Amino acid sequence: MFRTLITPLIILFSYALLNDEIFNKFSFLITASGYLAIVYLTVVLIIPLINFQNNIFNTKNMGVSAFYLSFLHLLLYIYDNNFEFGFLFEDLVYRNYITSGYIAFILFLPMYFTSFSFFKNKFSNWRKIHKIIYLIYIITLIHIYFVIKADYYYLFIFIMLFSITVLVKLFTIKKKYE
Amino acid sequence: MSKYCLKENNVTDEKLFHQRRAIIKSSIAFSFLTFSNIVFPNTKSLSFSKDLQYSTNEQTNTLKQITSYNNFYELGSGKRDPMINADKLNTNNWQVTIDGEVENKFTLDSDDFTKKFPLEERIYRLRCVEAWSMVVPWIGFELNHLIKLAKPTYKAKYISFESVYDPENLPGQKRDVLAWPYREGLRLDEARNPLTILSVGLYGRMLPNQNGSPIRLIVPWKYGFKSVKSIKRISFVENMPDTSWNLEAPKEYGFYSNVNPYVSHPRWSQKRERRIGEFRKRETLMYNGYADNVAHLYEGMDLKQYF
Repeated sequence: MFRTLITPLIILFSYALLNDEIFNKFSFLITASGYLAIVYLTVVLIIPLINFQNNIFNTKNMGVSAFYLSFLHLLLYIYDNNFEFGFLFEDLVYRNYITSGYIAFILFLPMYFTSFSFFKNKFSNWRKIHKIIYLIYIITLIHIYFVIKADYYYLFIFIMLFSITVLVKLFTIKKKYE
Repeated sequence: MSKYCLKENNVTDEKLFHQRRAIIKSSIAFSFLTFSNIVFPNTKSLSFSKDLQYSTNEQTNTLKQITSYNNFYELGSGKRDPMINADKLNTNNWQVTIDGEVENKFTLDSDDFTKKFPLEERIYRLRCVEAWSMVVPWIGFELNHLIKLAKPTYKAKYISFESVYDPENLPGQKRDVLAWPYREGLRLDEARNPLTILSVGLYGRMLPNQNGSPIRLIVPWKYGFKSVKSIKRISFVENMPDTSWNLEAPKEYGFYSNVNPYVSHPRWSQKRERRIGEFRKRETLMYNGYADNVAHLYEGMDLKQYF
């Protein structure tokens, strides 16, 4: 976990805080932690397809790290708004990208908890619960779509990666049953 | 000898010790000059008077901040893209056409921008719709001087501004990110307000490309995207003109786009802003703090409807 999550975070925070050319550090950290979370989620989807796992790149570490990154993304946003409940509530109700962000995060919770042995033992159908990652990914794409002002280039890349991953997965399942 | 005792050669010379502040200042000045030479390659200093009536006495943002954190989608949609791609904007032989409902149609060239009208330094707050802000020492002239020269006819109710269109060279215009060329507009009385200027420089020198060289609009009580950069055409028109961001997302970017913390925006709350360089956010002021000068322009208007 240290190498999967903590090292990139140390690099990210050091880069943001020590680089005097990043003028809007909070905005940078909120955006970067969000993008890092979806990059990790993408890797979680890709790992089983390429059949390659090691101590750093494995679905559990990357998935749990993606959750921590999205949690950090949320905490930074809340801190940036002075933990003001009224303000945060208005954002949650009136701003689509905030609403979709909260939904994605809440859906992430059961997947996070069932990544640990204690809950895995309690919920025998945890594998089914983990299928929720596809829904989380789609809602995250919607979250990004709402936050972008005009240039959808990076969103398009994530949509392409997701589509390819799903198609390959479906193709693999179909082949298995043939 | 104790390890805390210093030898003669470890001690800073007294002369140097007394000059320490001067040395630090000169090194800061050197780094500023070096950076300003990178930002302002071959650009000349401008002659201007200092305005005391409309300028704020707030701390200005640094040249580095002003020239490295920009929205200029023609040069890329990232905040650093305009600085990185600044050389892609070709400003040679630049001309601005003034036409439409006016008695006097004419063109301005680069020399006219700096010589035809009295230049002033106006230190204005700039508030971006993305909830960040800066304080910038612009050099420019009141748009009203140009309006007087053009002599609008009775039909002219609005002014439409059109920016540069060069998809071969400008990386942002290679894709349909916005309806190119970038267009903005003002009501004629807004344009005549003494706060509205056409800027040709900042920090005493001509505008760097990433800030909208060679000539751009500055309307300090409106969100930053209204202050169109690298203007090629100024047209006086009868009807409210189309504007690029309004065409892109009409529910988000109205024609007026006055800074207003009380009108909620679907994307960003406009109640607060982060001044670039500051850690915490500050409260946003109505009309970006220029209410005394401009509130009368909108008397009787429902600002939620005409956002």
